[in-house]
Amino acid sequence: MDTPEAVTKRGRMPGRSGFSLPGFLRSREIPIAIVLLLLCFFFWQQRPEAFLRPANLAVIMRFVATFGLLAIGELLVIITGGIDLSVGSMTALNGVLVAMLMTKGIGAIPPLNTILVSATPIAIFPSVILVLIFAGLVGLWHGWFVTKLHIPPFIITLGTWLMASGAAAFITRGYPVVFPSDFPFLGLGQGELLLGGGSEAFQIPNMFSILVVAALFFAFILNSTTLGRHIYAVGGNIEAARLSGINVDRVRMFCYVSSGVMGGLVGILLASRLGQGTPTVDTAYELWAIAATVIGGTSLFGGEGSVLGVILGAAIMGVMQNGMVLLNVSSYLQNVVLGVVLVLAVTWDRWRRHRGS
Amino acid sequence: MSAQSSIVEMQNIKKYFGAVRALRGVDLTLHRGEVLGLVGDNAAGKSTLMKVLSGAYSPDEGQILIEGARAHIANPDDSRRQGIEMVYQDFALANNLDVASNVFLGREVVRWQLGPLRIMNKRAMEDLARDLVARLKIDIESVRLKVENLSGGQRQAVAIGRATAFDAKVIIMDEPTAALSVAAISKVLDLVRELKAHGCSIIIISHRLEDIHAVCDRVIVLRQGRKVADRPVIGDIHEFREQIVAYMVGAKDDFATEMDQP
Ligand SMILES: Nc1ncnc2c1ncn2[C@@H]1O[C@H](COP(=O)(O)OP(=O)(O)OP(=O)(O)O)[C@@H](O)[C@H]1O
Ligand SMILES: [Mg+2]
Repeated sequence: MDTPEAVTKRGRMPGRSGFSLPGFLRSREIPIAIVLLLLCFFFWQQRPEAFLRPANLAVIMRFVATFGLLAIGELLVIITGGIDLSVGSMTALNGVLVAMLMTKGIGAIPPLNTILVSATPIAIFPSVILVLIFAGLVGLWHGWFVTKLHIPPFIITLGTWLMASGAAAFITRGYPVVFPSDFPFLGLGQGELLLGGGSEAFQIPNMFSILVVAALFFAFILNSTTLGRHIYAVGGNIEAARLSGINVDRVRMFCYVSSGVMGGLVGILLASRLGQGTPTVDTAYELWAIAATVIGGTSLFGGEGSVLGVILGAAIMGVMQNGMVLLNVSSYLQNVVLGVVLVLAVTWDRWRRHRGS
Repeated sequence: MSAQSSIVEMQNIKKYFGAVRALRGVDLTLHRGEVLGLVGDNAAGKSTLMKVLSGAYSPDEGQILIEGARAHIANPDDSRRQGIEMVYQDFALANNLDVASNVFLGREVVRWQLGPLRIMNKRAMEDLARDLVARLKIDIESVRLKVENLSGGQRQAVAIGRATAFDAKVIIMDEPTAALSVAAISKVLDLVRELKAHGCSIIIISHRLEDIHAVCDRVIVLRQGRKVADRPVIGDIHEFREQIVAYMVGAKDDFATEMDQP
């Protein structure tokens, strides 16, 4: 139902089986993966003895896990056309909360300190669950404001950012909540899976394994379920999604809750990793997570992005940051370089998109 | 046709947007197997009236009967469940998704259900979408093309195809030919005749009175949120056009009461 000229002018596309080089380069993830490999090769060339050492790779993997997990939550929200600025300080607050619940028990919460429960390993599991529920409820709160009151996500999550960073500092009076050094919970963030034996065994940090599980789960949601398709539809044209009978509010709620839970998860993992809940340290993490999603090819306008891209984006940041440390680049300069990478990434992405249509 | 054969009855529909009285008590009856034209000047309320029927808007007053029974249409899903499909004036497609995804948006083919998660059968949807595109002779290379890469006419074709793909009882088309070439328009009109032959009831909104004249059995004219004419399509196109335009500009009004005068 169209004029032939209009049809021929538009829409070339590689078919189901056909491989075409331009289509290959226009895909989102493959060029990012190539850049990542080139970076790895470069740093390996520069510091062959240090870069590929299992201990160093474990450092990179922990970095990728931290920002990858946050970025997956951010990705879901950004695909729907929103943003979640709260995750950084929510990570701090959740870390503090989990540390307080575990070390001081329920007694840490002021009105309840009459029924004080002392620190026991038994508190680990319920504390983790409680914090994840709390984090999910904060996400629900965001979703509720965005969908029912039509408050811009930028504003409502900025409000939470302030509240959470303030609350984390207030309830700890600014001091970290430190775990006993032999507390079993610390194994979660500090432990790793060893492949092979000896001192040079390949290490896969638990945090990274958790990232892999989360990434597979959310990639499955986005690619294979109706929910995933509806998330993309909401980001592409929310009115069209609504007119197609999709419950767009519920879809957006899911994304904000997921992002909240990821913030909770990272808060818990970092508390375990650092051996303490730190009220101040994580407050710019949301910006790193957003940077990872953008480097991974996610459109801030919504409707586009993938879990794989986001993980690759986090990996690029992790490898660059680590590589620059190995090369003794000043930490101030490191941020300059990462900023340049971010700008290059969005510029390339724009160019790719314009060529595509 | 008797009143029993009506498939849709909208009674005294009122819809306000703040101070704008978009619909001021409109009655509309659609008979089974009928093609009804809905015309009127810009801002007359045509799209609003049809969006009330499709569940996109809920009316401030009035009721809707489907096959004689009171229907509660609170959202687009309710309307679809009643067998009502609408082609929206702005197509209502998600440009970031491909053709097949858009055709099945909101009613994906599900392979299996895992708790609250419904796993899609993408292959089945692509195959069905490809059949649909072939059946309607839509000129699209692949159903895996993203809608943002399609021309305006192709998008309109996809929107029409989506509405006709699910054995709807009632199909509403809001300006279905606005983006189309002359050849493509005649294809749409043929499609309308074919759907009618299959027992479908259709409402067409159009500014092209020759299209209304060509396929519609009856025409309703709206003016400033009111129905001003409801009459069979008879006579030749010139006569028809003259009459309808008289209603559209307010020179004639079959339903005038003192209260309605401005
Ligand atoms: N969502 C909305 N919010 C506010 N006002 C609206 C909305 N939708 C429609 N209106 C108003 O209602 C009136 C009727 O609009 P409607 O779209 O139904 O007209 P129409 O007959 O379809 O016109 P056209 O031929 O231009 O498509 C207009 O005055 C319009 O401005
Ligand atoms: Mg209209």
